[in-house]
Amino acid sequence: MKGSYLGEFEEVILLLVAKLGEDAYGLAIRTEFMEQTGRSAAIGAVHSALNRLEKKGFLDSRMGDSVGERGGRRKRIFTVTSAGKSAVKQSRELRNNLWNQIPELNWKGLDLQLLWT
Amino acid sequence: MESDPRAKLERIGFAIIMDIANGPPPLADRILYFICKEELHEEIIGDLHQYYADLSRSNARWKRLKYWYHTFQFFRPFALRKFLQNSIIRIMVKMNLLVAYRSMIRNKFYAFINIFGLGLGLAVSILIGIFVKDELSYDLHWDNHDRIVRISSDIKFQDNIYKMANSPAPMAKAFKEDFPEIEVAGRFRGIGQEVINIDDKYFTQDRITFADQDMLKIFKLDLVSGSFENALTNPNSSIINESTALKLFGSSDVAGKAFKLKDKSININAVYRDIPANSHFHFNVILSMEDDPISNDGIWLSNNFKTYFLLDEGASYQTLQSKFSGVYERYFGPQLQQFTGASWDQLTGSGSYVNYYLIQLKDIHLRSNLSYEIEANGNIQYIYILMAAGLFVLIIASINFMNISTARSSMRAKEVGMRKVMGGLKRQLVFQFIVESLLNAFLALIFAVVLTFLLLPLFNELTGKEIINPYFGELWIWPEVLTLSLFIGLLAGLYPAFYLSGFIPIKVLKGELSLGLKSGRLRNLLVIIQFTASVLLIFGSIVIFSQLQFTQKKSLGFNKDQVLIINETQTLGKSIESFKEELLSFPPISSVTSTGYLPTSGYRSDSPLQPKAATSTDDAVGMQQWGVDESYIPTLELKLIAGRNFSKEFATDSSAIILNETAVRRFGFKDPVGQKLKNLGDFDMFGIKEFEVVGVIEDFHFDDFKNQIVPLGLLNLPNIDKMAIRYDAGKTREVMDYTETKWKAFNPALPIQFEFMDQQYAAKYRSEEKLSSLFGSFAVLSILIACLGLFGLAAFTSDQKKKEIGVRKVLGATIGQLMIDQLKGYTRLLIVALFIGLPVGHYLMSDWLSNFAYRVNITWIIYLLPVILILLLAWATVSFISYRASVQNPADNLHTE
Repeated sequence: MKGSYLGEFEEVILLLVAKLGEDAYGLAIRTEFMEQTGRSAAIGAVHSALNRLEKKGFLDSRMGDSVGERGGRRKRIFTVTSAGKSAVKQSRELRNNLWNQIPELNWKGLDLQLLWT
Repeated sequence: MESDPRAKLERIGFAIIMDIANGPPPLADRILYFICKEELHEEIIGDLHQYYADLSRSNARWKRLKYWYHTFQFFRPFALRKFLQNSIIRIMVKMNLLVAYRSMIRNKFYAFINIFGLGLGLAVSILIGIFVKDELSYDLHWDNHDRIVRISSDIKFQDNIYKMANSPAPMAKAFKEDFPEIEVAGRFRGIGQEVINIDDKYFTQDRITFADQDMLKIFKLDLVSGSFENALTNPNSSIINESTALKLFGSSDVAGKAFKLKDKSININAVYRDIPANSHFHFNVILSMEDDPISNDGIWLSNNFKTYFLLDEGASYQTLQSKFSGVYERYFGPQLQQFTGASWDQLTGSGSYVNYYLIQLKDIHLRSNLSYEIEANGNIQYIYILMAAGLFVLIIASINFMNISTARSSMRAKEVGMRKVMGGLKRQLVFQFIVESLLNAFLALIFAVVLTFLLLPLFNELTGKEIINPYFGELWIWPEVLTLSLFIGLLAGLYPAFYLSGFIPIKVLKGELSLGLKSGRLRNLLVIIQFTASVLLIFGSIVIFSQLQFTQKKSLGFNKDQVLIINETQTLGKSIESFKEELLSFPPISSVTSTGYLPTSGYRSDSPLQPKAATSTDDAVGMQQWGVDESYIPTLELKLIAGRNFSKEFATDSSAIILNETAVRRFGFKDPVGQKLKNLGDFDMFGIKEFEVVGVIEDFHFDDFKNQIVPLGLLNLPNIDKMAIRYDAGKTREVMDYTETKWKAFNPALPIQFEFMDQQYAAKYRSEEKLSSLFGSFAVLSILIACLGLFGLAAFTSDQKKKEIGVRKVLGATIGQLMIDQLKGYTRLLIVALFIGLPVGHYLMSDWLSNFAYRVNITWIIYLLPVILILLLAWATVSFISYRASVQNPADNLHTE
């Protein structure tokens, strides 16, 4: 097992699963990802991340319903586990912490940098 | 309309079909089903299908492309089936490889013999493969190459047969009108080398041709600059290739510029990319056919043009050429009557014939070896010979592996027995040995690939090719190479695998194995096959080499040594006589002759003459007619056997002729000197219709040894294109320097172009020379590999016989006796190989030699050489081993028991 480290892409996917709720399956997550971030991702990449997150215990899944376009094939619906919730929380706290530690003096320079990051 | 149920149904049906056609590609799904984990199928394919449906209904092809992209994006570790991980097969292969590796390490010597030998063999066959693949790729790069054909001719006139790549000037146009399946027809007429200039810069430009505008529709050249549209339609226009443009102007963007050829300004309308090396022509400068004075003369009786057709799609060239015979009389008849006075029926009635046929573009390089080909072509026969040689070397190398593995079977017997006792299945053992063989072949392949790269420069030099990366370059030969080594690995592994895995465990574990004696007979057979192949290769290369020597050494009837040739002497113009006098004033130069007709290069001109008294064309003799001066015979050291040479003292010598012996024989003259000859019909040679024979020269070889000497007449007519200089031996440097200085004084603009007659002569046999050196190297390699195998085999047997040798030595046998005893067995095999190899070689090589009208005899020396070579090498190999075994102290070998 790779451990419980959460990559940036994984974190966004995890948050998107939480956001989409009952509609959190591979293709929908990808669409949402592209809309929210403006970045593109292959369907396979999203599936791969979901698979990884599930193995790390951050996600849980069950088979959901189907629509005609899928040729009768069911979706896999993902939900965030409590481990997943604490992982994103932890990550958020880490960031907040870091933000709070930045002295006022450096803000200007950071603002400039933030423009292009 | 709407109410018609049938129309509605059809529309729905159509829609369904459309939908299926527009659905996601089924192949993509099938691939996913195959390679993805089963539990993921539903969600992955479901998502993909939904994705496909969501894509806007714009472009089906674009949608499919995107779908494929996403399909391939699922080739990730998480989604792929775990094919081999932890599977029994994977563990087994791993184990097999380990055992194979250990067995190699334990027996480094035999592993080396196997890998080195097979690697050499593979390297040779890869190089041959490269050569063959390149030769077979000729002209396949042209668009529509399967629809392009060229006319070839097969004409018999009187006693002479002309098989030419040429056809008459009006044929292209006439045939295109006669035969609707010809879509485009066009002609080349190559004029070789000319001097061209841009202002006061002079260049010798080679590979120049005239061409019809329509040729650009048949052969689609790659445009670099300018335009092909009407590029060759008008006189004084041309197109040139990129490297010529760079040479002349230093830039490839030169469309619209001009150069001068024979004081005529020629416009460049386009620049084309250099024609690929694997084409049967490589013209650098293409001039408009309108500038060719003979392109529109309408004469059917002379063949000077290369005519190409682009046929309609689906048209058969065989059908087309079968229609040709119907139109010959219409075109040839009237002109025949006019020029020779004979009618078409008379001509064909006397056994003469005219026949034109088509050859497909792809066959020109390898299967057309006619007179006047644009460039020297390859030869399919040489391809076959080389392929056979490659196959032999490969067989020899694979046999090494088979022999050594089976011979050493006793070493592995205990392992086999043990594995069987532990429950190993026969097929697992077979697999084990095949894996070993494959590993062996694979290592050999790596060695071979390295070796081919090292040998590539040498190979390119020998074959005249320019191949840089054969594996992933244009030739793309790696799939073939990989298949070959896998195949060899399997083939060489199969027999040992079944042989070794067939041991009965109880016997081998008890030590009752008969030490591979059972397979001894087969091993002997394989050794015989190996050495037979070596004998064939050695014999073949000796024959090829001696024929080559024969062509170099045979008395040619003229002396090709110490003759310097200067090209383009016509550029000296009127000062040519004073230039000649300057040369003659230099003591080492003994004579100088001006002529375009030389035995090793230059023009050939063929037309018939008949005795003055003749009444019918039956008495005509088709013959070469060369314009030469009175210094020609002394310069080339031709032998005058009757009459006299031309002389300035006889004013009538402008109509004199000197015949060669063959011509005299054909005319049937008993007393040739003084006989009168005349042209047929209205023909004349430079305005002269009647000739008087003043001398006869001995036959000399002005064509190569593949052809019989044909009738020749020397005419005393000026021709100043080339100059040949005879000089004293050992003065080459001085003569060259002197001539060059004088040339500069007379003709400063154009650099002098020297050639040596003996080098020109050698160039004629370049393809035989190539064959000889290639074949020779293969022969050397083959015997090397075969001896390597023999070395391994002998080492093994002598190891087995250690005890026997020890006992015999104790009983008083001498080292010599022991060695002879060991050599005897192998010598028997070698003699059998020689008895099979030599007759087969004789048969094959006589076939090759029959290509030459003048050829070397296969004498007993040629038989003896391979015998001595093979026996000596094999004996040396085996003696080394058996000597080592025989001198050992018997006590060392006998104390272990």
